Amino acid sequence: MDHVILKTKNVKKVYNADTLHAVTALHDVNVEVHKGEFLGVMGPSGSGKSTFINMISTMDYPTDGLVFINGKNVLNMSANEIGHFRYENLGFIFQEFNLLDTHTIFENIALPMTLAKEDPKEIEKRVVSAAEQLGIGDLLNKLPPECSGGQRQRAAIARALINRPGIIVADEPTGNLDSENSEELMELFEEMNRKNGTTIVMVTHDSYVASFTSRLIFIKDGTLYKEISRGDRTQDEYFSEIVSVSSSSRRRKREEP
Amino acid sequence: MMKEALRSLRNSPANALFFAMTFFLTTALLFSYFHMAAAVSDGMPEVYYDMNHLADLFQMLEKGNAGNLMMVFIVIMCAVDLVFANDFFVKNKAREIGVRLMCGATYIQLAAYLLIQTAVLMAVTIPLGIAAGYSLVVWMRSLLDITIPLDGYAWMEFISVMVMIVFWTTALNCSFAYKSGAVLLAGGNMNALMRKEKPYGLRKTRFMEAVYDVVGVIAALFPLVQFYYGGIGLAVGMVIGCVGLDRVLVHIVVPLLTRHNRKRGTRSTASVLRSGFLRRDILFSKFTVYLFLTDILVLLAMMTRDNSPLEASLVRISYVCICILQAMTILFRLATDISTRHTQYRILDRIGTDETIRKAVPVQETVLYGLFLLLVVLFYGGVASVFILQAGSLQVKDIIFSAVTAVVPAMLCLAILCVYNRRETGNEAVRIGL
Repeated sequence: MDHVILKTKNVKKVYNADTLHAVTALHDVNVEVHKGEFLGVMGPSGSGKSTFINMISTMDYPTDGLVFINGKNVLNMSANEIGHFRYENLGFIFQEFNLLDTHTIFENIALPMTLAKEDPKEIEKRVVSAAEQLGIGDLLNKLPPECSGGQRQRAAIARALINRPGIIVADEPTGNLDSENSEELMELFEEMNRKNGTTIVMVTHDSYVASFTSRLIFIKDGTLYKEISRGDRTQDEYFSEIVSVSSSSRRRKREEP
Repeated sequence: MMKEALRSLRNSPANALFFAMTFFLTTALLFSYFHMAAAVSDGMPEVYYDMNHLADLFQMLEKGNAGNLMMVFIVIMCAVDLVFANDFFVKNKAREIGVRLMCGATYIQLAAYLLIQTAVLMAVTIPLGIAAGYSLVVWMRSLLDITIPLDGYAWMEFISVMVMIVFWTTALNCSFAYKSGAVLLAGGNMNALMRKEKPYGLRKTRFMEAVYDVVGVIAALFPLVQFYYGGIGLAVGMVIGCVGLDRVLVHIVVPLLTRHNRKRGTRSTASVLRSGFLRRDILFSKFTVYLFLTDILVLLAMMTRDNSPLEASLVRISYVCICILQAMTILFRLATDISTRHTQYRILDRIGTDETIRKAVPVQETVLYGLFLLLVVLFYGGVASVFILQAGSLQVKDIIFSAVTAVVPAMLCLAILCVYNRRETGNEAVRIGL
């Protein structure tokens, strides 16, 4: 747990910089994520959560500050190096699943492995195994639009995990799922984190979903507003604190002149 | 509304240009066709007379001079081409139509919004098409040294068919306005809604599937057998052939591509991507390919008839125009799908696919599709040509003319598609939407 796998140092993001409509989405954000941690990111709409996750997942560059993943400064990499870095170190799960609708579930899951130039036999073996573990083994030859939302999200998870990345980045992964599928997904995340030691960084606005994490940071108006850890508490106790912090942040916003 | 419709036209010039080109070619073809057919001694007046007595339609076809047979065929083909051209034209307007609907626009307002744009394009292209058709008629007069009168019957036929075309396009626009509203209210995309498993059909066993596949292959070859025996009832034969070809493509070729991708395609990312996109292209454009084949074979069969010089010219002009129109139809169909594919390339960017692959795949995909189309066209056209040459109905130069006319416009359109594909996917892929 002591090894810092991801670190941001004074990260600042300004959209439309040098124009009259400049908007600062993040102000000097400093976060450290340890190996094997399950970190949640919460905050109201427009608070900068998605900007933060785009920065740490190499999707976008900060205006100022540094981002280190496994000790490497991602800002010093070229576009192609970032591509390699992504499929070797990061697994992505998004609210809209982000599967290629034109390709089968098998092909979608296999893509990061083909990028890593793995042997086709090994790809077949590992994709089938991952799909079976996630309960989508019989859907491999189907196209994503032929599957349910839950099945598609499982396919997205299989793709995110197939290269055994160091970090899973999930942006509102339960956003398009019903409560039953959401709960199943979070149990899966919890199991991956506990049994395999997978590091997960997840953005959510759902307090119940957030209660599955081991640590939670709250972002408000582009700054780190609060940080809480689950520690030895039960999930219910942790959930109560999340709700309390979440609502207090909103109350303060209303009370401000 | 007028201003907004014109602004919308300006915002998508490529779509407007291609839609306009379809109108232009359709008008030019119909104008020259009706005027030249009127010059055939027992042609146009009879057609005009018989069209007023629809019960005699089959009798008219039985009598079968080239003008009678082709009139029905060409008008149907032009109408079908307009369906695909319209689809391409309005596809990228779905979002703005959706927003208008959400803001309270009525169905009539949406239809009017689309119709104004179509009317503007028609107002520009129909006169140009008439001018081009007239030039063609004048050229044929001097070439064949015969009289082709610009008479009233031909004008009446031309105008009545153009009115039908305008109504048809109006109906297409209205139906799109309705469909957009329905999809938006259903909260999804139409493709996803329509791709549900069909609840009917015989129970699928491996044996039955194999039987269907064999029947499909036989049906796909049926039109060629007809050519061997002299092309009797070829239009019906083509329907059977297209049903068979559909079985072959959907249940044999596409699963083969999927199997290839799973076993060996995973050697490289580009291989997985291009064969996946190729599979999608084949399925998405299959009906336009069937139409293309039907046109080529039916018009090829018309060429083998005992035609007068004017009828022969009429068939050839129709063949050239229809081949161009069909090539454009394939272009529209594929471009309609490609215009929505930047999302897919954004996903590829997100999971770490480098720029070289993202730029190469659209080109490789289009080249492979071109090879597929060439293979299908040359197989059907080639086998039919061998039978025709054996029967001595046409000469080698006629066959070369037919092959070049079928292949060149299609390949040109695919070259345009390649540029469009690369522009749509390659450039917008990187960090779009962030």
